[in-house]
Amino acid sequence: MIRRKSILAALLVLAAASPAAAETLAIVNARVVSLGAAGDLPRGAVLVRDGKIVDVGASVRIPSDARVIDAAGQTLTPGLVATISPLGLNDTIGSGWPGRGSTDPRLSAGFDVAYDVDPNSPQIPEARVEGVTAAVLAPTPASAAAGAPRKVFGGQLGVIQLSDSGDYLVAPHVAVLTALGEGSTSTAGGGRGAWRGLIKQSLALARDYRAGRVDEGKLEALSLSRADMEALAPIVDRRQPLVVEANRASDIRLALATAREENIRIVISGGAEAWLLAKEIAAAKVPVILDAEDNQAFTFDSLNATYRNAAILNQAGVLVAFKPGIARIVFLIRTPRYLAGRTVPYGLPWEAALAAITVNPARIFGFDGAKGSIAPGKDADLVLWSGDPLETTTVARRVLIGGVEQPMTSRSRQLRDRYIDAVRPAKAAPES
Amino acid sequence: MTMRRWRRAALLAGAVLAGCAGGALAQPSAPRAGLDPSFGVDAFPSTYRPAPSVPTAIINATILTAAGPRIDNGVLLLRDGKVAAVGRDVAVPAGVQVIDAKGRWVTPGIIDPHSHIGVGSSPGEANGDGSNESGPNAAGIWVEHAVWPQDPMFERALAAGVTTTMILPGSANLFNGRTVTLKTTPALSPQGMKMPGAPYGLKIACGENPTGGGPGKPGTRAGGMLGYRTTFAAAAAYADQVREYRRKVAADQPAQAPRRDLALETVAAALEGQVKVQIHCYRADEMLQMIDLSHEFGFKIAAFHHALEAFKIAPVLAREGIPVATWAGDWSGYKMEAYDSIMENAGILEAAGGVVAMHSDNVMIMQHLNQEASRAMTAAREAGLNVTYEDAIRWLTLNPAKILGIEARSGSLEVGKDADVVVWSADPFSVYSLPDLVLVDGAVMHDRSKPPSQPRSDFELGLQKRPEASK
Repeated sequence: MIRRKSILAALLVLAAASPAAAETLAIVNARVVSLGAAGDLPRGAVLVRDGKIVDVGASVRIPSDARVIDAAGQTLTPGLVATISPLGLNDTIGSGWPGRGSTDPRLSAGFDVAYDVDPNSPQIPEARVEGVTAAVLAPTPASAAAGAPRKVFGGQLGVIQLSDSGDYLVAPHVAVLTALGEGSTSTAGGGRGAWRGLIKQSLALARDYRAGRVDEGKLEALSLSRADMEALAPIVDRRQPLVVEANRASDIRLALATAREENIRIVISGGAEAWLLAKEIAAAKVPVILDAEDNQAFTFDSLNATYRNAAILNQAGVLVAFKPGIARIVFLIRTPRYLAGRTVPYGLPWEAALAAITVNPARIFGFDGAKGSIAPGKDADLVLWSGDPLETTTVARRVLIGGVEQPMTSRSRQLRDRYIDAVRPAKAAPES
Repeated sequence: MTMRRWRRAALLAGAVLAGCAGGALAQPSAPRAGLDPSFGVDAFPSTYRPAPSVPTAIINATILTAAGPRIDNGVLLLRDGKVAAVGRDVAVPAGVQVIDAKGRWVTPGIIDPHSHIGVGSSPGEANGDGSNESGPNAAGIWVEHAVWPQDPMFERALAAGVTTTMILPGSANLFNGRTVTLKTTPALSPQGMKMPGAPYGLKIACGENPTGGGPGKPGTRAGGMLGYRTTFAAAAAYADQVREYRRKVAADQPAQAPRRDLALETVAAALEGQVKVQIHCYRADEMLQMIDLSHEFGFKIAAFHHALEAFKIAPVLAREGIPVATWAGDWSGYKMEAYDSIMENAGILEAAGGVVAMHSDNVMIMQHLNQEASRAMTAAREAGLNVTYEDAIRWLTLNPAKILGIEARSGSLEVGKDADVVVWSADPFSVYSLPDLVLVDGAVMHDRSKPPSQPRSDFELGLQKRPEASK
């Protein structure tokens, strides 16, 4: 039964192969959670043509040439977005922060993690079969060996899609990462004041750079390079946000104040104590990417961590997304959906929880024009679920990226299939 | 090891124990307890006392007992800290406290067979392997001596339905020392949390963590195996010396006590079956080698922990009677030996007739072990294996109890067992379900509707702000 289904899926994928993007596809009779203007349709349809969503609604006119998927009893959502993710960056992931970072003393903000992505990484299909269709990749926060120059920027974040075809890069350098906390401020020069000073000096040089003034001596004095200036230019122009990894309320407050002074956009990542400043964060229109599982004092920076964080921020009007925790990331690479589901019994509305792993990260990193919700004109990144996508007993049945149905295979599933037959009859046979 | 060989080893152990009983202290020339190598003395005895409880009936509940089929609309009667009755037709005696669990589910308390809380405490190396000692043989370590009972994680574990956990030392060494099994209830010392009568474990580690060279570490897995064999051989000789000493003492002959060796003592106790051998091991080939090692030296492996590749040798593990403590099986790849991890690991072991348990090893996973079980169950069902709720609840309760050697008194809702109980807000395998009530030895230790006004840990007192409870 299962076997036949997977063969069928494989055939569909083959059929969908090269001209797939040109296919006209209708998914009908599904519960459609659009996270867009179409709302949550108990029984809706989505029409896809040339890889884009053409129509979504309770009743959609289906052209006669469309391939029709009857998804009765299933739930259709936008593809999930893994945020602050290490997907495809490393072949094996060490414990702790798993990304990539610059060890070059004159390269920090300019380090672009998008160049480290291996689109053939087995991690990508593992996440894809769990309904993840895009990822915001982040470098590690700046680190510096003893005696090395101080640094505040970890590098640039990039967005990829988890397509089975080679076309994986959605957008390189969508933001720059800095970290503000107990460990990171030592890299910046010993404390929060050092972080603030170095940020302000670096941004001042970036403004000079934008104005065509480059003082090599000043750059060198701050261990910055022209590549770093190129990366910081969109920050001082407010075209891109500075992602500030911060957990302690006082650090978040410092980040908010620095953003105000420098007139830059920031995103708080981590945000363990963000709930204590919910109103200020909302007023500053600063999004927060939460480690949704943080509920205790892993460090003194997160003494007031709580599972209620997301609910409180959301209620205050803060745009919330979820990321896996730094140290726990190894277990969470497959999917962010349980992170989202777990916040619901702590008061986050269900749809807000789903938004936090779909449309919200797309908004935060500026790719919501193409992805993150089900709306006409957007990429057909869609997932059909056996039920509630946030539920532990639900699985992804079909995953489409750019209108192309993706293979529901992964290395771990191949491993399973190699060994599972040895035990299939055992359960039925009487045990002695 | 076959059951017969295991039984023989157990008999031998029993004989050694019997020979030890009381002998040393009865002799005028006997050494002080700390110098007595008889390893029958419990120098750090449990001082655990259950909280006061009242007879309680939980009614109208959907009950997963872990010892039989689901009971709908059932009654669970608790008295004197024990399960007094469970079933559909249990009369509720007059005068007992009644908890109406209509629409809610009742399960045994979760037993986490692998955690490092209290050792890798918060704040600090929350995700670290606590108590990693230097040197290849840290068998003399007792991890309880590193447990900080004020770790804020104990309160959170209890609120997540975990009523008992085995804390292990790290995996940096071949032999890492003694484990300890604790109730998650508050106390001022680890002894005050130690589950009375729970056997000790010896944590052995395979693979990448204890090898790779560096100070005191073998460079290769082969060097690791040399270390295990050398140590087991030395421990067997030590056990012989102790046995001979006991024999002389018992026969009133002049006897010189062997110098007490804390490392060999624990390994010898493992050989004798008194201390359960808990092995951290990822790869199938290494587990098979460790099984051969256990045959060579005649010890029983209590469980393989992590065991991501157990699915490759599920029939062997079932035949050998070796349980596995593992995660749901998210693709991990956080190191080479964790490369082959599948979500169906637990389901395949279950289908093979093996004993499998969910473990956390991690403070986040420890707070949703029910979801780990749910996801592993779901993956197995998707793959066509017949895994039921009745199976999955055992992954969280009775099977870890077996791994810890406490199944006679814990891990299922059977008459006479400890009344460690969770009342869930909904189906415990739902992501939306939370423990409403957690009872330990019949006493309500966590009530979600009545959050304590102060944190339980002294550490968090005056430091932690808590938001109002949800809704």
